[in-house]
Amino acid sequence: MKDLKYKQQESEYLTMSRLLLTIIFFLVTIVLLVIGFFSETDFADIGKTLIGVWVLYFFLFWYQKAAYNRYSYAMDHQGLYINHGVLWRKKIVIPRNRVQHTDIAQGPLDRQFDLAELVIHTAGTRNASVKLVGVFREDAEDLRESLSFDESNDAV
Amino acid sequence: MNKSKEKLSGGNRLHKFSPLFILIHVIWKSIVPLAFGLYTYSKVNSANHIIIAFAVVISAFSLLQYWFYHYWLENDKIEIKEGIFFKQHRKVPYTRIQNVNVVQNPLQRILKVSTLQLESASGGKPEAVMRVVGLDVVEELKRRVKTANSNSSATIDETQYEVAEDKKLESADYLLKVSTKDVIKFGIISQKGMVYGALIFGFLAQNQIFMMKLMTYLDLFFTIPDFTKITFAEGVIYVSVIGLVMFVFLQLMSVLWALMKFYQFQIEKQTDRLQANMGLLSKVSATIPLKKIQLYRISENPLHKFFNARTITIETAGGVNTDKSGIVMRWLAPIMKKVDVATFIRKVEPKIKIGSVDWQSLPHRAWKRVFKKGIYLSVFILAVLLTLDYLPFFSIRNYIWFVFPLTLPLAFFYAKNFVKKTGYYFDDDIICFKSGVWFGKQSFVKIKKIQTIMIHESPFDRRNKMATLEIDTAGSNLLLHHVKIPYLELHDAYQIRNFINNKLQSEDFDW
Repeated sequence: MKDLKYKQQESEYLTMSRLLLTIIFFLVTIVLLVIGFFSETDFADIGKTLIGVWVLYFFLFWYQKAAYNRYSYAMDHQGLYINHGVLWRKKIVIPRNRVQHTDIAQGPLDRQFDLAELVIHTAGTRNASVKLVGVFREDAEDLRESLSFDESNDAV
Repeated sequence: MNKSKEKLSGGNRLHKFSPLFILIHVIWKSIVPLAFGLYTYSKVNSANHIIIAFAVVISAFSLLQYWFYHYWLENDKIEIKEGIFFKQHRKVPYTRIQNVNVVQNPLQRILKVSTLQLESASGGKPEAVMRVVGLDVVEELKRRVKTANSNSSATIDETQYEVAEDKKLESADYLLKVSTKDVIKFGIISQKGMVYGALIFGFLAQNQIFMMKLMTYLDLFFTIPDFTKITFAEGVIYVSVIGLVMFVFLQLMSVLWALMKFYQFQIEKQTDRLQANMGLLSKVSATIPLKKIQLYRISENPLHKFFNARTITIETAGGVNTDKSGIVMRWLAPIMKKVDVATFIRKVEPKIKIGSVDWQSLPHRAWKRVFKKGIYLSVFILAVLLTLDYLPFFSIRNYIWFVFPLTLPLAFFYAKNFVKKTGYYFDDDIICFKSGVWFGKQSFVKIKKIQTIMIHESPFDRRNKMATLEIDTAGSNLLLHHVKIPYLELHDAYQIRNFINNKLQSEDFDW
């Protein structure tokens, strides 16, 4: 377990989430400007709000990088390991023979970047489904392939 | 009932009283809450009556399901056909049925019928709920399931280790019988009356009209004094009498709840399952396959200590825990003597030797972290009080400074006791965790029931080179105590994690 090779998320994932963030904040800005033009609100107030909004934007922009840096995963013969969390860090182990089934999910933006999300379902409750985000689709499929174990000995 | 004949025809119907109980079930589950909601939150008007009349008509349709429900008891499986528009045809082999649970309410007992619930290992929803069937059918089905399972268990290795242990216990003696006296004690310990008290109080607070009526009735017995005119002493007496009456009422409610649910509670062990019977008016009979038990929990609150007793509950995967339309079975022993706990659990689960659990304590410096939390909390309370002081009508400045001297010893006491009362233990078979300064809880999980392992490191953990280890099991209740060990030394946390992970590789999860 010591010589586990942890892998980072793909850098495309960071680009994508930052793109999504930017789109959302531009939409918010437009909405605020529209309100400014068509209502009685003082324009100075709108300006102050906008500054607040964009300070938040730059904070989140930085935070996403931090979250990206702290996200890593690894796989060995025992199972899948996922580490994440910027301040409160979580390290989860999903033993191979505890995997019930797996899903691969892909949103519209994911498809543009060829990214996918691997969802691993266990019989547990708090971690009934664990998500591995920010991997290429082919990698997700490879991971899924190697996670599915020989079910012939699973007699309930 | 002669099965061979009906097998040829359209199959068995449910019992002829079935529509009655379907109706009662529907009224209880949908119309009563609806009426309650409508009359509580709004004034009575004709629109309410129309809504309820409409609901009654709709639910009358559910009676139809009786004529569309057929079942067959075959040699090796039960077949069920049901559904009006969406037909369902299910075949459940007896070997796959894990539980045959039986509920009988008083009316069902008079009519000699019962609600039957069949569960398979799949978890989640029961495989079939039969409302209602005759007792002869219940017995027949139980017999068939039992023979089917005993024939197959020789070939399936699921009961490998339990079988040998159980040869001695085969004579099905009761593991536990709870006397009525103990049930009453348990009622007091549970303080369940509080829940009902809160419900009644909430109902009265919402429903002004009802409240007014109640007040006028109360006025007949004694007059409610005008609090502005009575002396302080009179006020004290008045309040304490009311308090006493409410206290007694809550205790009576608690005892009543316990009697209803746990009257004549008894649990016995059959080869690979537990059989529990309980109930005063509604009799419940439930089976719990041992291998479905995911977690054992022993609780002790101050009242437990007073009566020198303990409560043991369990968490199971799927079926028995969900309350979709059946039975919630999570009580292994509502109340039992403290000294008997170890032997009782050993009889249930030979692998859990809680008598010989050698609790490991948290690192000593953990108390400092708990104490610091206490200090931060009292600083926070102080800040809130100071802010309050700035508001008009509040002049508490002279008293505020008592907060620190009062809370700091408390925080110190809490922190020291926290470390003392928290402990963990793990070996090849189980992992255990205990915690709780006032309300002590101990959770035991068999290693092979563990699903995932998590390590949490908060910023404070990292500064102290510590971590929290949490394990996840199936059917776990998110709100209740589970194995989540805080303030572990970092290397200990990783060592436990790797140990469990290695163990799990050789143990397939078998529900």
